[in-house]
Order: sequence, then structure tokens, then C-alpha cells
Amino acid sequence: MRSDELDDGKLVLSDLVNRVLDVGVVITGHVMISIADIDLVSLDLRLLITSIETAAQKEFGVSQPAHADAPVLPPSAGK
Amino acid sequence: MPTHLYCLLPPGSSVAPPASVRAIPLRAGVAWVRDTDSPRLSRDARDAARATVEHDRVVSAALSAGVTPVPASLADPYADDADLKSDVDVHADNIRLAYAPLAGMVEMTVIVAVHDEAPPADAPNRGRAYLEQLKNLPARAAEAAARVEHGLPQITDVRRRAEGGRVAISHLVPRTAEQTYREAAAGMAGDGYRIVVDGPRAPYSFALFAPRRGLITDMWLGETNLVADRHDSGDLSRKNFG
Repeated sequence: MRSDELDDGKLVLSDLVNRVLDVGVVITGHVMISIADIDLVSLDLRLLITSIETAAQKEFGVSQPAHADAPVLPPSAGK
Repeated sequence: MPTHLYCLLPPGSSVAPPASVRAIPLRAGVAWVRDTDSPRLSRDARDAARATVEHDRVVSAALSAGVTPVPASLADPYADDADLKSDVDVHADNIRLAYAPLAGMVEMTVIVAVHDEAPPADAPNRGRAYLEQLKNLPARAAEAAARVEHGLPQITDVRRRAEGGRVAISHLVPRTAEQTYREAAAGMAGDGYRIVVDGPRAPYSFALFAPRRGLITDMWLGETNLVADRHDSGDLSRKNFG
């Protein structure tokens, strides 16, 4: 697999999460963190995305979905 | 048993859902749902990634069957079917209005990504140079995205999401124009940035039902680090793609 394909998959996955994941899910973490009076909303989101990208790269692998020209995750990843 | 909501299809839709997914007729349309053991969505990033892909796979099944659904965001499940029904029914009128502009349309996205190689190990002030690169990434990504978008067909319905060195530009386009869109996007590849075309997908960026919050049609408006905008030149989407 080419490295640019892997990078494309990470880009698509992180953007998909941004679109699909309910904002409230991320805000839950923010509420806990903001007790320290530090605004970490965007940092929280980036940490989540980074973690997902790492997981996708190291554990899930990538493949070519039927509905996109960029690789995301193999069918088994959702099971 | 907790109920997870995937998407809502126009009233009367008879598309068969994938295995393990149930179709529930509601006033707002036909809800595709499944039973789940957990009353709460996992906050673990790996689980969230898996759940996102699985969620999108079911929503995409409706799209593949020829029906453009109003997708639901990935959220904590409802307590049961009755809980789901009462929440969705509250927003039934708004949801029913959302179907018409989505009919025959799909969401296509161009992701523009800017990336710099780290300064060489022997570069003077290497750390400072690296931080300067990071600081300049958003502006460079925005500039590249503007260039790319200028070369795409002018489409009324557009959403933009910016984060760090990347900008995602989502358009609502007719199903029949997918290939035209891809070719236009591919033609905007350039030096200094990469382009990834994603789609077709359900119109998450244009009509999203958020459980317990309602229908969102401008999901990126006002969000931190996220930008939303519209062309103001009228509805050119269908006309431009003929």
C-alpha cells in the first residue's frame, strides 16, 4: 500500500468523524476539562482525531470503499 | 432495550434496510434503527472510529438504494423505541421539509491538505522555524482551498471545515454529477497541497438530525475552528450540473 493512500484514508476518516460524531459527545470531555478554567475544546477534538488516526493506521488498516475514491477502513473495522 | 438511530428516510419509503437494522415508520419519515446493549456511546477513540464507520455504512446503504436520507449524528442511543419516537416527532415538521431539497442529491467533499517537511536537522533556529511552519499552516490551507474552490463549479450549497493544515469543502450535488465533480476537483491539484475527493455520502453537512437536539442545517455555523458559508448567487447547483 502506498503511503499517500494511507494518508488519504486518515484525512477522510478524520473528516468523516468531524461530520458524523455528535458535537455533544466531544463536549462531554470538554466539560470535565474546563473545570481547570482552560478552554480546551479544539484541543480535545484534535486529540480525539489524532487518536483515531493513529488507531486507523496501526490497527485497522485501510481499504477502498465502494462509495469513495479515498480509502477509509476495511469492512471488518466496524464489527 | 436502547435504540440507535442511523437516519430518517422520506415518509413512505419502502427501501429494505441492511441486516440487523429495523425500519420504524414515524410521522417524520421512516427511521432506520438497531437495538444496542449499551445505553451510552463509547467515548473511547477507537470505538468511536469503528462506530462512525459502521454508522456511515448503514446510512450509505440508503443512499445506494437511491434514497437520500436525513442522516442522524452518532450520539448516545435512545432508551427505547418510544423514547426515539417522542424525540423525532417533536421535529417532524422541520424534518419533512428537509427531504425535498435533498432528493436526488449527494454530498461530495474535497479535502485540501497542506503539509510541510520539518526543517532539516542542521537548519539554524530549527525549532523556531518549525513553529513558524505550524503557525502558517491554516492560512496556507485556506489560500489553497480558495484556489481549489474557485476552480470547481459554483454551487449554492457549500460547507467548509477548517482545522490546522487542512480544509474540507463539502458540496451538495446531483447524483448524476458525481463524475463531473470528481474531474473538476482532480483538475485543481497543484503544488504545495494535496487533494482528496470523498463521496458520495449522505448530506451530513447540510441536514443532520441530532438526537435530543433536533434538525441542524448549518452544522458548522458558529463552531470553534469551523467555518460555514454560502455562495449568494442563487441556486445554481442543479442548473450547473444540468
